[in-house]
Amino acid sequence: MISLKLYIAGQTARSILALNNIKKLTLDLPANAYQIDIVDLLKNPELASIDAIIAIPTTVRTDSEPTIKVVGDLSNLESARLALNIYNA
Amino acid sequence: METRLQELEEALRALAYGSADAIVIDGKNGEPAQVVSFENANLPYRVLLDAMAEGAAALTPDSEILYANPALCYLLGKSSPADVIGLKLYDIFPEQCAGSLRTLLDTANHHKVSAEFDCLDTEGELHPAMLSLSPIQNSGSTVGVVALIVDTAEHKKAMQHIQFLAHHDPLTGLPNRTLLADRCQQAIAEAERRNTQVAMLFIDLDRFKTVNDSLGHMVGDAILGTSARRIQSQIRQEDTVARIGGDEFVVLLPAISEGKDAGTVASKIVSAFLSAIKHHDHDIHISVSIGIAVYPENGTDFFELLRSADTAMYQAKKQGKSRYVFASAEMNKLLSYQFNIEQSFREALDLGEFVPYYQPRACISSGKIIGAEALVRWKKPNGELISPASFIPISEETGLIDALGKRMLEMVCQQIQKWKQLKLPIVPVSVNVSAIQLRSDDFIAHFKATTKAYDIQPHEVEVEITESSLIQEGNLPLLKLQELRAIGHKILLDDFGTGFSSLSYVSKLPFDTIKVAQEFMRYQSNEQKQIEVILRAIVALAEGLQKNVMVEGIETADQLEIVANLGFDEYQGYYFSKPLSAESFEKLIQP
Repeated sequence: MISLKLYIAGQTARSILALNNIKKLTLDLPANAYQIDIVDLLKNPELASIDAIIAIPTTVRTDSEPTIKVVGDLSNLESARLALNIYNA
Repeated sequence: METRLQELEEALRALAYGSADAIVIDGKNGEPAQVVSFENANLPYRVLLDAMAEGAAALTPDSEILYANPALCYLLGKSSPADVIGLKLYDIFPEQCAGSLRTLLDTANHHKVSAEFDCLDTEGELHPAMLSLSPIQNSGSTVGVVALIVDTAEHKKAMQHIQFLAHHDPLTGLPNRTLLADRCQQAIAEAERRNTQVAMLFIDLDRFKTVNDSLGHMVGDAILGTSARRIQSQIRQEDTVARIGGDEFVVLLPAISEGKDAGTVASKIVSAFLSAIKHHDHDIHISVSIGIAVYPENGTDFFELLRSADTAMYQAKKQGKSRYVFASAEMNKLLSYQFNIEQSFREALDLGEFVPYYQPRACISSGKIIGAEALVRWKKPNGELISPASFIPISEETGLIDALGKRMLEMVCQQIQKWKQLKLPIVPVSVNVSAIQLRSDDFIAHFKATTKAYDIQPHEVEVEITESSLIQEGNLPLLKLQELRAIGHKILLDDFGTGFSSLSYVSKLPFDTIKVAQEFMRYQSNEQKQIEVILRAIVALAEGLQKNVMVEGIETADQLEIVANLGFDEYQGYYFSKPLSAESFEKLIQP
């Protein structure tokens, strides 16, 4: 199962865009093949240290070893897909 | 550590590129991290964008929406910016616009462009919108595009409404004067080509002002609406009904073969007003007076036709209302005569060509002068005297009588002051005050100021009013007269017996003397008995009300004897003296 964690800080434009893009990335996956957790650092700033987040938005794939981090709104869908290694099986 | 550096590098790149917009600063000593959003740096701009009524969006160069303000979300029927961000500009416009949008976007990468499009809301409904795109440039290259989207639906609706208002009367929805003028000019052009005629019917509601004043504006407006419909019901599709003033309507009949056809239409309209207009509990009887002008006979353009039809309408009123009258060349001549008089009237007022003449009043028993009436005379520089009969009605119609009345009072007061300085035995002088003057707000103030300025005692100036001028005016004029009377000015009721002579009303009027109209002295010999009965009754009335009574228009010794026997106290008339210039009057009162 692909586990994605999206770190955002409130409803900033980039955070919203990142969320939209993450949905696009997982659009073709079966529903039970992935899960997305959204962590709002404005509400829970203490969670930033878990994945050592530097900038917002950041997407972390937690089911891989080591974890994969992509900073930014994932606008470039293809490089995001490549980095996070999300492909339809 | 290497990974951490890579991560930092990536974060910086994302921030520089703009794909990240907040940074996380580690909390010291185990405190939670702090998030610093770059959005807040732009807060003033954000507030502005949020408040804008126009839709605004920031796009990537290939038109993906990065930011959308609330107005744009509203325009597109979306509840939050999240539903719009990430969409491409193409998604919010119908498919068929894609081609032109692409062209527009290509241009927008270089310079500002704008165009009108229909954009789609959530329900798939189209909104006409003005789209304007401007490039965001950073060191020579375009890094984004700003889009402004204005919903033009409301604007278009407002423009249509303004267009309608500019050409229609809001109360009745009928064309207004502007549209009428336009249609009239078209009709004239058409008639000229086809050698036909155009008729203009100027319709005025009789007694509308009285109804409006007594029953109120709401009823008045309802009557105007009903009247508009009644007129419309009597005309053809191609004719125009316009409302051009308070209770004035105009019907334009384009292309009639004979002028008298207009008479048929006018007659139908007059008949349409014979039945009462029902409004709630009221049965309101309103008739119409119509003046008809025909192109080319009575005028060759809109304004000439309107003027001719208006003049004819006045004739219809004069002839007894509820009728129509055709315009004629004589009528226009009369009109231009009146216009000339009015013009020269204004000039004469400025030049001081109006002077008071003084007609003495005498005591019947002693034969002595006991007063005088100041009468206005228009003395032209060449010495010509113009009869008041030809300028008083015009001065009343134009309201110039107010200025004239004030001027007269000033001159009379000045004259009395001069006579007093010459130690002449002065008598009270009465000045005529019209209903229009009484209606004027500053009447009392002016009266007081003038008498004070010339050091006039109240008994030295009297006021003459006619009963008919007061009868339609309500209580206010009466209060003003009462005020003058309370100061000590006598009030003379002029032309008694020619107006309505409502006895109940007369009993309410504040006055001191009844002046019987001179008309009573112009009887035929076979009417003498009846006239005497009436005059005796008036004397009895005056005695009963404890008022003085006098008679005007005494021209012969016989007449004087008759009124003396009937019990009159005073008289005025050519038998004693005609109205005199100040110099002549001065000689008369010299001891």
